[in-house]
Amino acid sequence: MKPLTAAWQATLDDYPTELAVSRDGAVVAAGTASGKLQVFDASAGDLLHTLDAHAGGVLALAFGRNALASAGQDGHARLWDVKSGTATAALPGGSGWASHLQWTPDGKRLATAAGKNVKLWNEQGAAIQQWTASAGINGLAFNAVGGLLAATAGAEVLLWRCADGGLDRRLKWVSTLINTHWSPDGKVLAAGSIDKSVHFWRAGAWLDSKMGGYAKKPQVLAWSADSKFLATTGEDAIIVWNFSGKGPEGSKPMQLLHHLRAPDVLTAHPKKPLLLSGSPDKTIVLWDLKAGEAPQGQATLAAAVSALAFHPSLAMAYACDAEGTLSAFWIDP
Amino acid sequence: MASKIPVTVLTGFLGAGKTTLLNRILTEQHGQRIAVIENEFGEIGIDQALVINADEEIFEMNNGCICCTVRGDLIRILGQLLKRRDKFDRILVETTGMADPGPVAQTFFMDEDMKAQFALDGLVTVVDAKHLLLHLDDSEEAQKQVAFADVILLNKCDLVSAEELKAVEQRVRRINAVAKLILTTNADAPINAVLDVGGFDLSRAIEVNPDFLQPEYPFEWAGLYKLDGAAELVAGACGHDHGHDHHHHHVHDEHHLKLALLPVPASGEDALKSAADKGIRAFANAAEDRAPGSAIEPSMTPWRLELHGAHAHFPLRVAAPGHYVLLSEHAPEEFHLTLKSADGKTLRPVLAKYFEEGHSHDEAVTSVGIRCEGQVDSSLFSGWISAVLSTQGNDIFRSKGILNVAGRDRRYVFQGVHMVMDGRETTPWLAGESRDNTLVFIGKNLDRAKLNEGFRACLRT
Repeated sequence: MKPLTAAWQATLDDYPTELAVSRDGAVVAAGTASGKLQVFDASAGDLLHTLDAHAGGVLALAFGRNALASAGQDGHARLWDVKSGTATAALPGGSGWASHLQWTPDGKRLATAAGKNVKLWNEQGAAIQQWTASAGINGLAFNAVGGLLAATAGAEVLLWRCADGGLDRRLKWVSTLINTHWSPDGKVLAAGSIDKSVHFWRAGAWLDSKMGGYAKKPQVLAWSADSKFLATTGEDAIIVWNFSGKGPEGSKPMQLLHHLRAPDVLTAHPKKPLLLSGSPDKTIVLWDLKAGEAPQGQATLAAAVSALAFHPSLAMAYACDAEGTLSAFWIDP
Repeated sequence: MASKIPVTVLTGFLGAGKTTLLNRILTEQHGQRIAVIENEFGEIGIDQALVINADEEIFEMNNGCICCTVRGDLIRILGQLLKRRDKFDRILVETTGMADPGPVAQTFFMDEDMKAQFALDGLVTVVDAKHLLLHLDDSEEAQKQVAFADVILLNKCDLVSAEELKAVEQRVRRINAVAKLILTTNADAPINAVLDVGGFDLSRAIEVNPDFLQPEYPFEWAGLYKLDGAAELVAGACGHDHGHDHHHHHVHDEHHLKLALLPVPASGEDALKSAADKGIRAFANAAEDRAPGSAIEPSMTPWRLELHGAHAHFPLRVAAPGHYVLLSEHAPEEFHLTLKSADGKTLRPVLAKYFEEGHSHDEAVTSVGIRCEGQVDSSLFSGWISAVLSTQGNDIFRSKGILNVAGRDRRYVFQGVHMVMDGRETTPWLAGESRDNTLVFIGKNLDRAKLNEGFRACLRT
């Protein structure tokens, strides 16, 4: 394993909460605890814009096909044109924090959640659908074709049809679920529970499968781009379930152990089977899921890792630490 | 590891004075930066405070079990707040009057992330002296908020009479015998009595009202009278509903009342106390029946009065004028018990005292205290306490204890919320110090006798 070499560094205005790279790879945006968005040239690291996005912190950040969407503690989501650095639409959420947002895979539509309320918008910021769950939303995910929106609320995942707003089905567990992630191919929906297990349902049969044995709740899940691997936190090691072939039922997961303290940030490469993990022990580690349990690269930040992202085409990844530094690293294989 | 951020939970019904207290905490110069998580909108008048609205969302670990619930909104919000660590020193969580304090407290014991980063400092409950009794009768939430509290602000004391206040205090004490009780008129408690309470801090000794840990008395009331000669005791069967104090009514024989009369050498608290201790032995003797009209004398034999009809009269025969203590199985107001002089005037006790009731089972929320000497066998104790908490954890809101563990030189201190418990060794016992074990359980359906018995079985003989 070799150290990851730094490409560039920038200092953010506050604690970074979120990090996102545009789909075309031109810019990287960081959201901060003070509610600002800072947009950088992804390859050179030049600061392009500092935007006053939210009163209170930024809670979610994601790029669509064209627009950047942010959601924050002021209860709103906003759409941004990162080229000009201007807000293009304000998407009111309601009372409570706007804590989740998710673009459809094609990046044309956006779902936002604030408290129990979920809304679907087009990329111009016009509302298309809205739903109210019986409990606060803990996660949103679109399936591959964007026709179904999954939202975790309490101990269930609600599947809503984007076309007519109807409730397609409820996937229930007995304990509260804390996130939800659809595999990129749309075949498997996974959700972590506070009872220290990960659940998944295969689209079509919708039978609940449970993967237990975690020391802590699996707060963060990440699917590999090829839908073969589901990486999860909740242990000192990253637990990776293999969904190729017969699937993870009855199999032993890979255990990626290298951090000194349990990692709490994961991000999967949008195209390759690469995973980046970050830990409160200040380290980030690069993994190649096809290559097994050996770490491929490591770097140490100045403070606990707060956010990670891959560049879609350059061999580059980004990491933020709790002190407010954004670092770009080369991840050459 | 960095020190944990203290969390204070503020509970109380709407209108009790919670917001007044909150605003005072936020405006007073105490040098602490406080982030407030509030559930009732728009009440805080402080612009610069970091105030976050939350939803009181319950997360279930397992269907239906209150012991396994945590507050999801707190986990989410506190998780985010951690990212602003440099901006505040303390968290204050305000809950609505309808909130169950259980899930809030459990959040800081059951969720690993919360446990690692935050320390629950204390639960502060603000109650309104004027309306508390009503709320306690109507609402389980009100009972729980009093039961869970480390500090209770009995507010709006100016709106009630001294007698009403006393009744409220007694009711509060009956539910929660160990909370710090502060009487206020405008929620004007000293800030340091509300923040930094250390209610869940194992290194701080449990302060227990010594009265609460008194031995169990077989009578509910003792009155010290000055008798100048012949007198008469008047009592009636409790045939009607008193309405205002349901909670004093237990299932008992309404047509008989057991009491004892004991001479004391002088007036005063000490005389009353020694008569009460003597009364324990007297009440252990077989009672003698007394029909109305027959005499009652000072004796180590208790009397069992037959009470039929509204008022039965019993002459009191005392050998010489002096001070006497009347010990009554039930509170005198339950039987309209009064003493009258020969000329028909009502005699009032010089001193009177209510005792923790001796009955073993109570539907209402109450506190059970155990204090005894002896060395605790640690394996017997852990078996017993985990059995108690796993079978009765739903009903036991708080448990605390300081133990003298056999073979150990330090105090073992534990603290629990429902089924979750935390314990460790703290300060050493000093030479010559009395190594008492002290345990407190607060909850409903508590079996006082069984808890006592169970704990005593953990002692080494």
